[in-house]
Amino acid sequence: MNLVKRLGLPRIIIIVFFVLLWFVAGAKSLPVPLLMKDSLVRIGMNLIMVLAMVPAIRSGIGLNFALPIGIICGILGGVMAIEFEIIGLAGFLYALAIAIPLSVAFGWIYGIMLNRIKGSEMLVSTYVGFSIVSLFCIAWIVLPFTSDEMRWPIGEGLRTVVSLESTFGGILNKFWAIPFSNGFIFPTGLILFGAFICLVYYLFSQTRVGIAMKTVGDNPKFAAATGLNVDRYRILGTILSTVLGAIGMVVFAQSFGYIQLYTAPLMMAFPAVAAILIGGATAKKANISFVIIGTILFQGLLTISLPVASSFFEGGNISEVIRMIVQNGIILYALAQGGGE
Amino acid sequence: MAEKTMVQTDQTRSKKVLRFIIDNSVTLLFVIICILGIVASKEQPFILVSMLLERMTRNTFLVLALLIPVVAGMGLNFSITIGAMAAQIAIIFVAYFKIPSVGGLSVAFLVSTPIALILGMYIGKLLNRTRGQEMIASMITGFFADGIYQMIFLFMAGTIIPMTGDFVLSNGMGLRNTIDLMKDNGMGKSMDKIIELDFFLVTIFFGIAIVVYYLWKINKDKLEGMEKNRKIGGVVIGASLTIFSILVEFTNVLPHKYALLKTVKMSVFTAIVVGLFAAFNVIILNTKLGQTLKTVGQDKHIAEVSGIKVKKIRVLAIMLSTLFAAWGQIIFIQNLGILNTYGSHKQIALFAVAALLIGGASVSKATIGQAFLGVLLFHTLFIVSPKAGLNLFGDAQLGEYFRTFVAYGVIGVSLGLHAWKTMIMKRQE
Repeated sequence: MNLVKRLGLPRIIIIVFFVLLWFVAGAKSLPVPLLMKDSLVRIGMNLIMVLAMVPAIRSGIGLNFALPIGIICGILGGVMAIEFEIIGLAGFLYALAIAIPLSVAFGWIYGIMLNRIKGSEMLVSTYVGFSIVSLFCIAWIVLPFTSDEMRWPIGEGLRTVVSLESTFGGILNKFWAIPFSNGFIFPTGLILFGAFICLVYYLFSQTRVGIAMKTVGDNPKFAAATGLNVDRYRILGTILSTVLGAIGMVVFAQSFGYIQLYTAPLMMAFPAVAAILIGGATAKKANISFVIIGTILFQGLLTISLPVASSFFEGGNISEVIRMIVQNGIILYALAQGGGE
Repeated sequence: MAEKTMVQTDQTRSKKVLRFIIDNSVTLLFVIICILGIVASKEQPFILVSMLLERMTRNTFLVLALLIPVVAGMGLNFSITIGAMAAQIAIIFVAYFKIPSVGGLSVAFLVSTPIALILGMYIGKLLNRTRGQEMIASMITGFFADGIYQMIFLFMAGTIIPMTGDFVLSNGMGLRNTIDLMKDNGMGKSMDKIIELDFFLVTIFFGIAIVVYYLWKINKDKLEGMEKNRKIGGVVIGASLTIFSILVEFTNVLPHKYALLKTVKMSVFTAIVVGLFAAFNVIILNTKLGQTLKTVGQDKHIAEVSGIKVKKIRVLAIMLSTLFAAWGQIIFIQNLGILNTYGSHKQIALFAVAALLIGGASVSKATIGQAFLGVLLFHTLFIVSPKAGLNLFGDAQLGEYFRTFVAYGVIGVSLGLHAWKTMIMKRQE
């Protein structure tokens, strides 16, 4: 009973559902090794965007629904790499090199704004995220990119989907990938990169600055009393979150093999928010283990639900519907837990 | 001495003007954008006016559904999406059983009512558990409910729910993407067709009504001085509207370019329903319930102390809002004449909230005037922006992205400014 209370009913349902689906997959003799490979890839490609929630929560700004700011920076990095025809690993690194400083700048401005609206961060950030994405819808038409890889053959602007096949698609996924005889492939590079970023963040959180940031998030009044500049640490948290969002997007794109422009990033913050909440985080408490557990559960669930469902009946993308219900259900649950009286 | 007071009044006047501009900056900005948009789009006046009229009659009800939660201090109710879903369930019901025309419309109103009330009750209870975060919670509730809605109509319809016929996809599971409500004497446009008149015929009567109202006011209250002058001004405006409308309707005074305006049609019955609903929103605030809502909105603790069951009132506010959203969605869909099974409800909250904010409303204050003005401005922008984009940049898509950006942007800015003001006020305390 104690465990039920600590985990919360929604998480228990998700865990039971997750386990059940894998059993059904086995019983229905679906290709389990392949499903595991797909799950692992999706976990790896989403991990860093989920990690981006940690500095936001830790510094006290709460769940960062404005993740699209970072995502747009990541996309800009990727698009620039294609524009200048930098291919392979160099292209990937170049994309990061563009995306990171951009996201520092955007995150900094956005952090200053967040300090003016304490208490309403989540709502305002959602609409800031939406606004940025729709503003860049205009930008993708207007910006003077010239690469034929990206432009529509006729008409104005960039395509809605840009292939990364000839540039840096799959660069991490293929790196040191270990194929098994049963069809399972371990995407070593992808997992290593994710683990590396997590480790770097972990090391940062152990430094003096990292600990100070956590203090600010836990108890701003106490932090201010001990002489910490609360607003500055909140800005730092916002910048880190935005940067991780940008890195996360570049990793996501290389694994996916495509960059989706226009309205595609509009809702991308929500799966990341949901994943960390499923992992056990709240709007005030987060750590890296929540990120890992949450991403495994959520992305694993989404990957496996479609093939299992279609082994029972044909047609309809049930995975998408399950995503909507699980993702928004867990966010609602967290809101009701946090604001309940 | 006299000169000094003159200077003073001049100063206070210029201060007043400045205040007015600052307080209404969002609305004024949109007036400018709309005018520029109209000029750039080179849209024909006939198309512009008739589209605007149609959009105002079909969208205003939904915007007005937002008002009661604002009064109750719960902010902008993004979960009106769920009211729209209740309406669509009712519309699907009506279309499935092929209930024709106005009968179908009435059944849709009837069927949607209990569904919306029950859903509204649950939303209200949920929002009571997320105090201080009602708006984001209402938005996420909308997304969550959308998932359930899709689950029902994509996977349960035809399998668990016994539905057959041409609605259901060929594999026997899930409903089709679009449902045509005009076919087989369906409910499409049935409300709009009840009374349909020339717009300028309507404005003749409207003008006369204004004249009569102000004359009655002057007679009844025995007004003097400034007040009386103001009322006389009202009479003059009403009279000129009447005369102008008569001239347009019965002669050929309009220049050739605008001549078609004479034939603009208006769905009078729908407009009256919207008007009555707007009046209802004003009247209810002057009743006991309205006072209770206001008290809850202003200060929950005072309300609690004075014996008001705050939680119940908040649930009631959301129930009403959800119900009105459902009715608003029925008006909206019958005008479109086609139901997009999985999409018609998606943008409802975004557009309604954006329109209300553009009209000058805020999270804590909204009036029917702001609702009407907001719908007018927002939908003007909606109509002209693709053509303006095409004319200015050679790309209609650009205009469409611009209007989406405007919708999101205005919500973001308004919410941000409101949060900023609240924070400053808290600090001053």
